[in-house]
Amino acid sequence: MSKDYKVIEHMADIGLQVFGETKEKLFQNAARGMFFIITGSSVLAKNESENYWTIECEGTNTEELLVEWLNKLLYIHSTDFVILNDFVIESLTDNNLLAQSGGIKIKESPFYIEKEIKAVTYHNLQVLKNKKNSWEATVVFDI
Amino acid sequence: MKNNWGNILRRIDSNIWEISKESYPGMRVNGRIYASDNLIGQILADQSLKQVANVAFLPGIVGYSLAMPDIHWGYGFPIGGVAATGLEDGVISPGGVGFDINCGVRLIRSNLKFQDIKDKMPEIIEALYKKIPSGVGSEGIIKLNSQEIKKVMAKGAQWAVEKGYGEKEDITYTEENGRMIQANPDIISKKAIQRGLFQLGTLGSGNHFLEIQLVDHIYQPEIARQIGLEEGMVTILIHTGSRGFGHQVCTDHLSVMQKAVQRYNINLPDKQLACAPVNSPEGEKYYQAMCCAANFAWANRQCIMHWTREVFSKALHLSAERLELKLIYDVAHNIAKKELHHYNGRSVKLCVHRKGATRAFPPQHPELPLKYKDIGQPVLIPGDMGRFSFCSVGTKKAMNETFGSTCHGAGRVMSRGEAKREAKNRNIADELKERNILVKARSKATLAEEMSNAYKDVSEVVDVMDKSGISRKVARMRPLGVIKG
Repeated sequence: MSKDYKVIEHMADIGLQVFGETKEKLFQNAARGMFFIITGSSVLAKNESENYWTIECEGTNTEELLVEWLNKLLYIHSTDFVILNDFVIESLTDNNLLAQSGGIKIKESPFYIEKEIKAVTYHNLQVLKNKKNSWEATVVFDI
Repeated sequence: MKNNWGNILRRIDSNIWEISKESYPGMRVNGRIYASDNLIGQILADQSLKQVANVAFLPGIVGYSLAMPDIHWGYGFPIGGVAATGLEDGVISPGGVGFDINCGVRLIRSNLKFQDIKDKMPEIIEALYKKIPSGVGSEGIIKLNSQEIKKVMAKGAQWAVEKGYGEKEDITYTEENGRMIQANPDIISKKAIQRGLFQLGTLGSGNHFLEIQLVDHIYQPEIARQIGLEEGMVTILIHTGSRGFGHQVCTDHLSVMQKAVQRYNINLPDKQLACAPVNSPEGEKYYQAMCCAANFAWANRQCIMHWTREVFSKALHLSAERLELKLIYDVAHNIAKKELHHYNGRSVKLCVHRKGATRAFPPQHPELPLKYKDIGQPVLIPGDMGRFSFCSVGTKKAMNETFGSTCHGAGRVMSRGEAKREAKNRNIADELKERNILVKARSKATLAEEMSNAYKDVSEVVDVMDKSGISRKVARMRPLGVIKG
């Protein structure tokens, strides 16, 4: 398990507790954590990414932005049949995110879909700055 | 937590418990839970009772915030929750339906006995596994384009039958005739369309399955006869939903609903309960989109049933007609419906959310096919892959007490991680094989997560609803073979 995220279990669902020194790191680690849940492994090295997608998100606050970000990654994963492993945050404000994400085709990767995530939920959703001035988030997935 | 709930929960009857609306400021109605002593003990182990209380905050909720005995912790609504809201003053909540819109079950009968398929079981299971794609990380067999998927959204199971995936008669025995007419494909997002293009006719993963079963006990012989079930009969149960299409529809509208909550100044204890007035533009659009996803799910189960017929036919060298592979019924257990109910001394249309709950209409209900008019709607309750599934029938009491709803399955007692740890040194497939249950799954992890003891005993769940007079047991089926996505 990574120090960047921790999988938290609920009875029927699964969630992540995510950590990041900066908000950008927090968003990257949340994405990594999500693909850890999907594949059951810490996803391949970045340099194996073959294709890149541009991702733009809007939200009324950071929490909504996080859900939107993860849902967009999930959408790319499930429509282009890829595992995403590289997350380059180009700009991030309280309401907007611009990023590039790279990945490889599932068929061509050594990875296997261990869990199909249906969606990112708003349940118990939290993004906050902790006492150490570092970022923490909790997000629950429906599987 | 347990002690707190011990003080809040009030026993009303041997299998009925209530949470008074005075327990939490903001609750508009009481919470009511159907559960035995043993099941209430399991329910107390998670936070689902708090979720029953949370649902009672929804504007326009009438009667009770209801929970079936298979209730477990969900997100927003508990799984196993039922909430009816007024069309004029109430709200509709995508969280009260769930991401897997019209996740549901269909039961198929046959004229086969175990002896007829005993030696063919490995071949049939293998063929089903090959024929029916999981659609997880890959495409399904049916490739739709953006025009054709709109027809699926509009016509549901009827689209599938028109395309040759099944018989006209199948439609008669599908809830809503497999098509909710309020579906409006024109409001569906490009994203949802994109996610649905390659997912029709796929089983999915998690707790979704296709199971070959044997009817091993009949509780009401005359009703079983009318339904077409008898002891020793081979049946097939298909459990799946609207796949990525439905997930995206829910995601799209949850985002809209988050804003609607602010616009309509709705006070909620959990963001996942986000909702809008039923008759608002947001509420109406969600309902129309949800109907599209519900129709997609009915088409999905219809296609899978068609391929199941083909597999049996090929393996046994007899046509599906000769094998009498007939649909008993198809029920949704994640859906919202605008239904006519008797409430407060008058007939009134309500928006009934069933999230992990099954419609259980009584005899003589106008929605029932002629064949079931005198006996009530067949209710299909799948269990885990090592124990039983049930066919019950709906009752008048269900209409009076639960807005025509009953339980939907076993309900988890272990998280997936706990189940995996528990199964660490075990071979679940071998254990099931020793009990004459053949299992084929994508991975050992899936089998571990879905093993029997990760679930409540479905018999206990079904018994509570039977004893409460909400849905009466007709037949019990035990698994012979299971494929899991």
